[in-house]
Amino acid sequence: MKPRGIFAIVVCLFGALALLTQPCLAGEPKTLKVGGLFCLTGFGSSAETYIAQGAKLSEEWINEKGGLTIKGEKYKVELVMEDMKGTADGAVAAATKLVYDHKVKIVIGTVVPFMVQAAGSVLEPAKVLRLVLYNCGMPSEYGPQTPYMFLTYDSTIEGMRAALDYLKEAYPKVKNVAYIIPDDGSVPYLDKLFREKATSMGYEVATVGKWAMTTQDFSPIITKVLASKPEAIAFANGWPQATGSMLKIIRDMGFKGPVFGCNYDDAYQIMEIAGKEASTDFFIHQIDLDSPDMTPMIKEIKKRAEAKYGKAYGMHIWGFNPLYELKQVIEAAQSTDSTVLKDTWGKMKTIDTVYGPGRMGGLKTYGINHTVCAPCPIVALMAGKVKWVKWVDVYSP
Amino acid sequence: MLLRVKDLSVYYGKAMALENVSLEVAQGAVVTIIGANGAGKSTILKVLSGLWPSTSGEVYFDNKKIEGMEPYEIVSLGLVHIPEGRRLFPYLNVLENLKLGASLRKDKEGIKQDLEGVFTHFPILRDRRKQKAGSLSGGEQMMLAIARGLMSKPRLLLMDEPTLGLAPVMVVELVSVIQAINKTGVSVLLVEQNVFLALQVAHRGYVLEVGKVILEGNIDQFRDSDLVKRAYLGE
Amino acid sequence: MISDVAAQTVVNVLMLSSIYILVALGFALLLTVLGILNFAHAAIYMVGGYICYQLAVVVGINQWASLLISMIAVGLLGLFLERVFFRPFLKDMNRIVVVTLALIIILQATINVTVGSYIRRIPSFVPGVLRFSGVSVSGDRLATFVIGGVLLLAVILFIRKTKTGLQMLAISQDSDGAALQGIKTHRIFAVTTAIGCALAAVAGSLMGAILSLSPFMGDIMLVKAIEIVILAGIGSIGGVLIGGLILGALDATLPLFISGSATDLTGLCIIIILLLIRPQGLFGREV
Ligand SMILES: Nc1ncnc2c1ncn2[C@@H]1O[C@H](COP(=O)(O)OP(=O)(O)OP(=O)(O)O)[C@@H](O)[C@H]1O
Ligand SMILES: [Mg+2]
Repeated sequence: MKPRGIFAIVVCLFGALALLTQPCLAGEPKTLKVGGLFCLTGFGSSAETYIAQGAKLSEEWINEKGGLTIKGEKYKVELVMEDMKGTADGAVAAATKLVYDHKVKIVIGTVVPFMVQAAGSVLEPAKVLRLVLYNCGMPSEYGPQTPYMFLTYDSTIEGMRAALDYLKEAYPKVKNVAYIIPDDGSVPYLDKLFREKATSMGYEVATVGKWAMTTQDFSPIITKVLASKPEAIAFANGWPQATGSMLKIIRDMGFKGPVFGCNYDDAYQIMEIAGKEASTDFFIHQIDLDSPDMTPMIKEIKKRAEAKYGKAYGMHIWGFNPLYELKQVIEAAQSTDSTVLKDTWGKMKTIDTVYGPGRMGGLKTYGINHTVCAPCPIVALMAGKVKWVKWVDVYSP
Repeated sequence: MLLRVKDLSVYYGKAMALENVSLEVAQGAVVTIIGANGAGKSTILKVLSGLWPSTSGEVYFDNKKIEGMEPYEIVSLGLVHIPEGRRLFPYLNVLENLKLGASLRKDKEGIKQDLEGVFTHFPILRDRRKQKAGSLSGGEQMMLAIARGLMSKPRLLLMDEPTLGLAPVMVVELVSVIQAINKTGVSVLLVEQNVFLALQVAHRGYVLEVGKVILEGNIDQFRDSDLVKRAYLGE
Repeated sequence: MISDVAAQTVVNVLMLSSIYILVALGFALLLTVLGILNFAHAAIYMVGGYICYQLAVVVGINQWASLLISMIAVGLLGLFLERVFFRPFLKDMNRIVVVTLALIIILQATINVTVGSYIRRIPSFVPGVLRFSGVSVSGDRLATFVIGGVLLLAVILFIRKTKTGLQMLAISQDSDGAALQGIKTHRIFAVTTAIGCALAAVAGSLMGAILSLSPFMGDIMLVKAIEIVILAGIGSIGGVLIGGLILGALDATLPLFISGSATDLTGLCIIIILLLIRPQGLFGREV
């Protein structure tokens, strides 16, 4: 073929290519599909329904602000939610659907550790970037072997460190602490970290009580824990029904000392379960939406949640945070490729969270530096009222 | 006629169990149905008492059409079925079983009287009234089944193989029991394999073979029938 | 301290057993009288709790009246369920399983959509804590035991002493035989379902005050009810009481000695051992 003929074909090809891509360049912005994995029914749904609502708010917020800009191109975010139904099977099914039906490469969500693991078994091999909300310290859940997973906010380990610091400050007379953990496989890890931190602060560990995930009535375990004569009681993690029930039983059995939760949980819901009388000298990792001490971003989310859902909850804020972080990572990487994103994020030293400036950490604690550590808010229940305490700075090396 | 069955056909799923069966029981009569295993004898009784639906045909009791009625409605008319295998309530005692026989009755006095009557008839049941039905002997269970049936105040008693598992002495006793019941004005439709007994108490009879009536008539005709002799009396 | 733990544990055993028995008894009655495995029974327990909550907290009527109304309402719901969902499928085990499983989803979804998944607790029926000689007992726990005990006694007397109760027993032993005695079987089925559901509603309401409500609170309870019925032996009402006490005792005492998930496993092992010794259940009929 003559060179001129080849030239003509090349020109034609380019022309065709240009025509094909034309609508994208000039018309609607592209969409970036992001998966959302939450329990909308079943176990965990009482919190995760609101977390999912928060995630929805963050999608709208990003798109209202003009979406994401990558290499000059505008992207709208489309959040595709799948319900994990509160079971490991459900988590696997939902993750599979996101990866193979919806073809997403980025997923936000999964909170409860066993579902984090179950979904991870599908997402990690598929090289899907995961923005996970919570962790209870098990290596099988999060560590060097989960390079695509990022922990978007302080979890029970950070919460425990912050809470013990605050305990020392607010209840200086306390000498020993009991620690209560749900038996979900995390006990050996949390037990060790708790003992380390507590003994380094001069506390004795009265006992470490484990409860089965299927526990209906917490009375027996509380009876056992109180028999060790603790002066303060900590809950490693749980959910409002469990935490509220335990608090109620602890107070019913006559324990007067401080009780605190290390996980991020809604203080109002805990009080609803525990009842006003039992809701005193209790504190937990949570924000107070009515406090003037909130970050501008939290105030903004609160307004949006009230407009859309009537009432704002701490879970809305938590659910908003992952996409808020993702936007920064994508714009820093100028890419939507999950491997590029993970490499870029892994090199970042700081990232902004809705809770305030965050630092990347976790290499020593978790074996991987994919942990976002941000200021840890503490809220107390005092004499049947929710009271804002303060922000505690916390960092997992 | 107290009971009139016309062209009754019955299926279990796709399998036909009865085909155009017609039979009658006159007021005060004892009528027997004999036939080999699986001929459909129990099926007739199950349809009469409302336990199984018929596919076609008509059943009149006391000139009332009864097919499609619930079992309790049929019992309330006085058509009472003592089923094959007796179907006592094994973990309830004798007295409770008897009281259950009177489930539909409201006349407390009448029930009390009938209970007394049953106990005079079957004194052994009085002695065992606190014993669980399941622990009675076969003969005692048969008496309890009949007594329980009588507590429903029957006008027509359907009895399905009452001799099953009984010793010969008891079979003889059963003859007098049935006759005594009949004397009180209760008609009886008796399904039996024991043709000797059937021939002894019945006035009329039907022979059933694979779902069809192949012979019917007065009991004297039966005694002389070659068919009955050959097939059921082994002569 | 030891005596304190012991006293506390006794209260816990009694409370938990009462709840278990209230739920399991209805489940067992439906199994023996209607001959159906009603997997939706624990979902009905959940609905009972929510009705009580809605009346007491949202409508704001007297708490005890709410409990009573919830019991009656769920009893009526039972009548409806028996007529529409159970009766057409009584003789068909496969369909009954599908129908009752579907019913769980219907009831859970209904509550999830109408009331929502925000966490709720019914306010205490007997607020406060009773203290005697150093032992603190929550008023609700004591009330649960008392209410549970009274109701169970009432149901047992009803079954043992009334004509309807006797007919229930008769049907459970031989349903065709019972029909031939002129027993109105469908009426007894309806009464049984209503009683079973009403008992579950009371349990759900009490549990909603002691712990909390969730549309999925029945999931674990269903397992407990099945365990109790297996332990009791199918067809034994008295066995349900003993089975419920055993399971309540296991759940309330094992966490004192063994902690964490091992409690569940140990409990299950003990049940399996009991069943190895008596395969027909503790009080099952040897048929
Ligand atoms: N529930 C049923 N389902 C299906 N087939 C049935 C059922 N009951 C009876 N049959 C069949 O219907 C036919 C008639 O049964 P039936 O019990 O009426 O016989 P029978 O004359 O009473 O026999 P036997 O003298 O052995 O009691 C038999 O072939 C039997 O297998
Ligand atoms: Mg037969």
